Amino acid sequence: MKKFLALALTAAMTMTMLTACGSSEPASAEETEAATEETTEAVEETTEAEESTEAPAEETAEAATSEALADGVLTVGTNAEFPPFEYVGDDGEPDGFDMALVKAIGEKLGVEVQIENMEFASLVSSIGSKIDIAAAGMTVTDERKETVDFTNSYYEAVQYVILPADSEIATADDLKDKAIGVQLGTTGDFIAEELTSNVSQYNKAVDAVNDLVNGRVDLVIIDKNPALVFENKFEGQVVAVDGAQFGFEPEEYAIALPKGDTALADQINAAIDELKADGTFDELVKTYIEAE
Amino acid sequence: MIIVKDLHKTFEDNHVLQGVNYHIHPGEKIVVVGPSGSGKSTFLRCLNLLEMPTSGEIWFDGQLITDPKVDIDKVRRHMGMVFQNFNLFNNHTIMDNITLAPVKLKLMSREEACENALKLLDRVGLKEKADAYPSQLSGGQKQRIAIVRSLAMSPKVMLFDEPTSALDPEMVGEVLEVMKELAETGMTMVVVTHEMGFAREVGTKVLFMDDGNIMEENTPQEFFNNPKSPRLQDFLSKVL
Amino acid sequence: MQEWFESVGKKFVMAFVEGDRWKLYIKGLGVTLEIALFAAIIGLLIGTVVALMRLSTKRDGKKTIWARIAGVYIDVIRGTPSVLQLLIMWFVIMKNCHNGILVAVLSFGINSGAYVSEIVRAGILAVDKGQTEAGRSLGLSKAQTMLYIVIPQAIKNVLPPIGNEFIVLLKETAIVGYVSLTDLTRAANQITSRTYEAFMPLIGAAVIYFTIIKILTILLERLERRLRKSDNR
Repeated sequence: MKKFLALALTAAMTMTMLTACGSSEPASAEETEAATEETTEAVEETTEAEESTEAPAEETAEAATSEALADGVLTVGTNAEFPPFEYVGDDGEPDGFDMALVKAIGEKLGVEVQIENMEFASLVSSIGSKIDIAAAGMTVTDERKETVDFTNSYYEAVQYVILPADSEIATADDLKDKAIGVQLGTTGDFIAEELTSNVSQYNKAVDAVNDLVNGRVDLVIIDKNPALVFENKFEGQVVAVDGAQFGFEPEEYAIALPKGDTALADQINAAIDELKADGTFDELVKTYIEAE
Repeated sequence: MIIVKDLHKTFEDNHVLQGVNYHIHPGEKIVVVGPSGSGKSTFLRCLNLLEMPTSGEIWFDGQLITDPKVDIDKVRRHMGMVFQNFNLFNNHTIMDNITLAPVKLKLMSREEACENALKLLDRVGLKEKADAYPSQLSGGQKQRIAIVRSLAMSPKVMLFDEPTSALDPEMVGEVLEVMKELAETGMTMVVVTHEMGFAREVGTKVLFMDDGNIMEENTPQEFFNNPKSPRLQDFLSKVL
Repeated sequence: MQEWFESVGKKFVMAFVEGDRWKLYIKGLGVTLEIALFAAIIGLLIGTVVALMRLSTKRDGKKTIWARIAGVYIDVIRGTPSVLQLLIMWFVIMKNCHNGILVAVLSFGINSGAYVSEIVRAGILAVDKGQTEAGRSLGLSKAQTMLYIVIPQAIKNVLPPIGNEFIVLLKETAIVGYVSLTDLTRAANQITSRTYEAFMPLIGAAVIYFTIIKILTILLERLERRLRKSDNR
């Protein structure tokens, strides 16, 4: 028995170490140095272009040594099941507003952007190990803030309710004790959890809507844009209703970052501000969100 | 009792029986001998359609049993068969081995069947083994039980497929003894065997099979003392 | 070291104690066992019937139409991933069935049936042909011979591999999260999506699966030993 305990303990320790080794393990000295130099140069260029004199050059350079960027690659996690913010494009690669946004940010920061498509529920727990940041139409919540940091919000959204076309659900009271379909770990999931214990959690939003059509759930709570897409795709079968009608609070989308990496937050916030200033951001909104 | 007409049996490319004709009369004890691969076992197994003949006719008790419309299960009730490897049902006691078929086929009540089984077991001296399982018996005992199991169906004919070939030498005698006693009751028997002594002593006719055909047929005396074909002479010189 | 223990302790509390989260694992385990158990029963029934179909022959020894149908069923089930079978069952074939557990039970039962049928077939074929011949020579029908002589002996042959199949099935049910059922694996995922911490819930779920299967394995070993003993009776 003692032997077994010892074995289990070693196994557990090894595994914590293995899980930790994703990003915190220092790269070899030479590599880090080289990468830092590159990044510093890139940032210096940016600051020059911006003609910002607020921060002294040394400080910016120091702040730029965010480990996430040290290797010149920004690994972005997403869940490409959330059009128009992210979806798998016809070429098989993740596309959408968030994807275009992070690529633009990557350009500004002078790093290569690599997209990792994964389950939404695993995104937050993967930050700092498998991925550097997560851009997935993610709502800022206090719970998430305990584990990760967020950039400034780049989009404001409200949850929508998708109902069968002939549904009689109309007010917040009607939602009680209904079977609600959501995507696991999304804001809709959290809202639904408050409303009822009868929640079906799907890996993909489209599965939830399919089961709404099949009659397995009474309503689906989901973000506005995908809701409108589904209303369009399932025309005549479902309707999408603004969550404000049911008293849902509006929410803010932001990019999730490793906890405590203020350098990275500052850099990305600055990049987003720039994109807003030079009109790129509005372009993306027009191309991806309003065109839908 | 059994009439065989132009019986052929082919396994893939192997033409095992090549037009066998024979007529078995009630009360006869036919002993079939021959080298291995001569088709003698296949011939026997065709008689109760354990092997389906490729062509030819088999008549049993005036019924053409090779006709596909015949319910072969009903025919087999009247043809007992004893195998080289005994084939007792391993999952049943000796008593159940003997009573299973008569009871399940609703020929007897369980009580009748048990009573009958005990009588038969007594005849072969194995009454005390009624509750044993096959794995607890010796080969000779198993074969005697197998004979009893067939007899429990009150068959009109008994087929024996090399019943002593799988036995240790010291057990051959006890099985042959039971078969001799059975012969004395007037049972019609067809026996494929290598026991030439048994053939000489019990057989009414001895058949020599080779190359899928009956090469020679005679009374035991003539068969052993005056073999006609050179092949039989050769065969006998090897086994005697 | 002490820090490590503290952080593990905190994660443990977060993953199992806070908000009575341990209840979610128990509930999930219940769903896992319920699906696995009923699917195993259905798989056993289907498997036996399909094995007999597959072994059926015409008078001339050729395959029957039933044997062919059984062959196709086994081919299709073994040739497609079980998660796809589950999705097809859920979203296509039984899309109007509102009892999610039932859909999963049927899907896994049909899946398991294919594997069980091959086990049963092998078990039946492993029974000496002489047993069948002896039964038939006494005038018992094919069905009676199967029922009273062959199948009872085949059961002994197939129990160990059937037990194995049940263990595989139990683990296979971990994919029901795909269709929004909350089994043990999904419960762990749910907790991860709430706490944003994957280590404890996943390891916890793995330990629970392992324990259940270890118990099953021990029971199976005992059964096997008893069966082997009865061979010498």
